[in-house]
Formats: sequence, structure tokens, C-alpha cells
Amino acid sequence: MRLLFWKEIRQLTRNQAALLSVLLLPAVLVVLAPILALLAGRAQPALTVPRQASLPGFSDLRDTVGFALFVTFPLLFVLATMLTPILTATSTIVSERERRTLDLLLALPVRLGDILIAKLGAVLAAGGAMIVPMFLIDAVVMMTLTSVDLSYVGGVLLLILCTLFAAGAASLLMALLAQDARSASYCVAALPVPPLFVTALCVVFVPGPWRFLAMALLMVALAIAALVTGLRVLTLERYLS
Amino acid sequence: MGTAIAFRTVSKRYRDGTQALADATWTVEEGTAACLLGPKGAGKTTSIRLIEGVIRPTGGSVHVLGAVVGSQDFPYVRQRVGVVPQTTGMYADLTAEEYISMAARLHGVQPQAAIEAMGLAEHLHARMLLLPAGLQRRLALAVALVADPDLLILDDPTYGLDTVTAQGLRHYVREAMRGRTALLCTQSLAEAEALTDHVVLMRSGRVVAEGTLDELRRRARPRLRIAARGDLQTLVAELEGMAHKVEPSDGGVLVDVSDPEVEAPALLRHLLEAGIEVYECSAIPASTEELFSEELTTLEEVE
Repeated sequence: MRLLFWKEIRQLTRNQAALLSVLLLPAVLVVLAPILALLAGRAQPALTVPRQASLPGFSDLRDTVGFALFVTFPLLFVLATMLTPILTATSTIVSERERRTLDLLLALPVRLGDILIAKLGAVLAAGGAMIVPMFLIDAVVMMTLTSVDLSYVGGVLLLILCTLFAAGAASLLMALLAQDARSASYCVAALPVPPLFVTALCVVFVPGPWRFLAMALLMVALAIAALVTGLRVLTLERYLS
Repeated sequence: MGTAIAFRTVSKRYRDGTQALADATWTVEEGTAACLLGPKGAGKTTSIRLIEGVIRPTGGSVHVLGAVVGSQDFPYVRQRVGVVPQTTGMYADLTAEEYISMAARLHGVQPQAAIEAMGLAEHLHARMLLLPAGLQRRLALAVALVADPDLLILDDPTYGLDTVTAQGLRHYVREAMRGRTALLCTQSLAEAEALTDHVVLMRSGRVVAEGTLDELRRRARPRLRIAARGDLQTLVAELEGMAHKVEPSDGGVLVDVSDPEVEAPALLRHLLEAGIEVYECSAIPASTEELFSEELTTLEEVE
């Protein structure tokens, strides 16, 4: 499996055009948008968001920076963390079938499950290698410009890692569902919706830093549900058809 | 000698409802160069995927080198099986060397012998997709041979190649098959005749016939070629009068018979007594093409 994993990584790093196109979206969502939001919040410190006492998630938000940190950023981070591996999976998993190179792997003494695990591992490794450093840039900026501490940074990092797990499971679903590039594009649009919905619910109903733990746990639950669906209902054999 | 491959009443129905194999039973003995012969959609590639262990049968069992596919022993057995896929796809971002090295490392062996046997030494640094078609197939052959397998499976290795390239590749395929059990899947009768001696004829997931080419020829209906002086129509009318199926051919006629040794003397006597001056009468064994179409036609009639 290790050999297959490094084969995937080698192919990913050589496919620089695909890599660059996958890199741009998270760069905007994880680095550019949050930093701009924080700078805008600093420029308008007096601007406040209306209190929504009936919604527990908004009860402790005092200003636009707080709104950005606890409402907007989690959604952006989850979207970027979901999209990056799924987009990478489009070029590694779906195109392997579309270009009919999968038979070259099946001819080797490896199981289909090993091939998919290696691909998903590579997709997640690449996704993590893009998202985590980007978030660390954010973390430095956030700790410089706002009053957030390490517990906030740790909470978001936990959310990102659990979302990566969910993204891996979503990539498996895409591998089994998408027959070609066109159906893969439908999957890219549809698969991040449940995690985003869960994130939005937590943002609205869970107050304070606990929301990150709740989001992280729900991401793990979504990932497990996707894995069970993929392996029991769809089965790996679908990847061959 | 044991059995290298055994399909025992194997059925495979895919989730979309396609019945790829229906109660297929056939065997390949160790040391044999066998052939899975049939048109597109016959179930050849499904059979190979079952042998590889990539998919599971929905009925029956597949045995490879003494192990049931899917059993605990199978992963060890799988290491002794080399597979040349029927592939039109090649990696654009991997070199030939990287692919064959990965295969060799998966087997824990060195790839040099296979590289030399397939004449690939000068092409190792080329991206796989950029290799000419013949070299791509030789690379696939080299990867299948890298661990010197006991069983070699070849899925239509010359599929899609032009005649000259296919002819050149056949030399390498023959070398690769030498000294080991081999199963060649092909749509080409000429290839089956040239490279193998045991044939499993398939159609729509069913085994139509199985045996050596000689056995299959003997099973096929032979014909007599008869030529006589004078009017061909008189000869045809006389033979048709004896309830024989007759086909004019090259100045004479071809007559369907069930056993030339038994029927030819009586038929000749009758013709001579009828005043027809027969100067040629010879038994013609069925060609493989005739055999192939005859078996498939028989199956269609049954269906």
C-alpha cells in the first residue's frame, strides 16, 4: 500500500496544472477572505451585529470580528477543507477510471481496496498539506489582530482535521458514484452540502468555543456514515464499472 | 499435472443487472497454453477479473493454482499470477521505469530480467503514454513477467494494434508464454491458433465449446469435396437427391457429411452408378473459422 501511496503522491505533484487549480480555491477561502474580513473588522470596530437572543449560537457575539471568527470562518474552513480533497480526488480517482489506467494497477498483486485506500490517503495528505499551512498563516494573523487565544486556534484545527476525515469519506463516495468527469462535477457540488449544513446548525445553536467540538464530532459522524454507505451499499466493485 | 484454472458453474451478474457469466465451467491444465476465445461481450474480461480476485462471482467458484479465489490462501497464489491487461490507457505522468519498478517492488524482485526479455532497456525513461503502442504492450508484458509467474494471463494483448505491430508483438507474447501455464483471451482466431493449443469458446457469458483445436475440429461437421467431369448441375442435383447439403466451390462441390470414412464410399458408388464421372473426392476438415461460426450458430439456435 505504501508503494501505491507514493505513486499517487508522485503523480499529484507532477500534475502541476491540476495542483495549482486545486490550490487557488482554498487560498482564497482560507487565507484571503478571513484576513480581509479581519482587516475590515479592525477598520470598523464600532460596527456591531444585532443581538439574536433566541439563537444560542449568536448570544456571545459582540462585534463583526466575533461574527467573522465564530460564524463566517468555520463555514469557509469547512468548505475549503471539503472541496480541496474532493477536487484532488477528481484528478486521481475518477480520471484513473476514465483514462482506463486502472487496469494497469489491477494487473499488479494488489487488492482494489488497497488501491482506493492509497488514493484516498494521497488525496487527504495533499489536502492536509495545503489547508493546514494556510490555516497556520491565518492563526498567526488572527492572534495578532484579534483577542483569540490558542484554544480557538486548537478548536478550528480540530474542526479542520475532522473535516479532512469527512472529505476523505466524501472522496470515496465520489469514486463510487462518479462515472466520468461530468458526474464528478455534480459530486463536487453536492458532497460538501451535508458538512456545510451541519456547520451552519452548530454555528446557530451551539454557543462559544464548544461549537468547534460539536462540529468536529458531527464531521466524524458524517464521515462514518459516508464510509458505511460507500462500502456496504455502493461496494468497491462499482469503481470498476 | 494439476489444474491451473478451474471455473466451476461460475455466474457473475453485475449490480446494473448485466449477466456477464452464466454457469461457466471450464478448466486449464498446468503447462497448457490455453485460449479464451469469443467476441466482445463474451465474458472474457469478467473471467480475468474473477481470476485476479478483483470481483467476486455471484455463483459457483473460481480456483487458481489450487486456491479458491477470495480464500485466505489466494493473496499468496496471486503473487504467482502475471496479468497483461487489455488496456488502451497509459499513465501520462509515470515513466516506464517507475511503473515496472513499482511492480517489481510489490513482488520483492528485481525487474532487469523482464526488462531485457521485452527489449525495454532503451525506453525506460519515457513517459508511458508517449511510448509507441507496441512498446506499451511490451511494458505490460514485462510487468506481468517481472516475478517469473507460474500462470500468465493475457487479455487481448494485440487488441487495437495494426497488423505489423501485432505481428511483432506476437513474438514477445510467444516468448512470454513459453515454459509456463498461459491463458490468452482473444477475439482473433488466428492468434488462438498461432499461440495456443486448448480453446474455451465463449459467447454471451456461456461456454460454447472446450477442447484442443483438433478436438473441436473433429466435433465440427466435416465436408467432402467432390469434382466430376461434365455438368456441375447434374452433380448437384444427384447429391441433393440423396438429401445432402451441397455448396458449389471452385469447379466442384462441398458436401456436408457426418463421417467421411463411412459416407464417402457409398456416396461415390451411387454417383458412379448414376453415370457421373467423379475424378476427385477428398475429406476436408472444418477450418477454425467454420468451427467458430458453427458453434456460435448452434448456440443461437438453442437460444
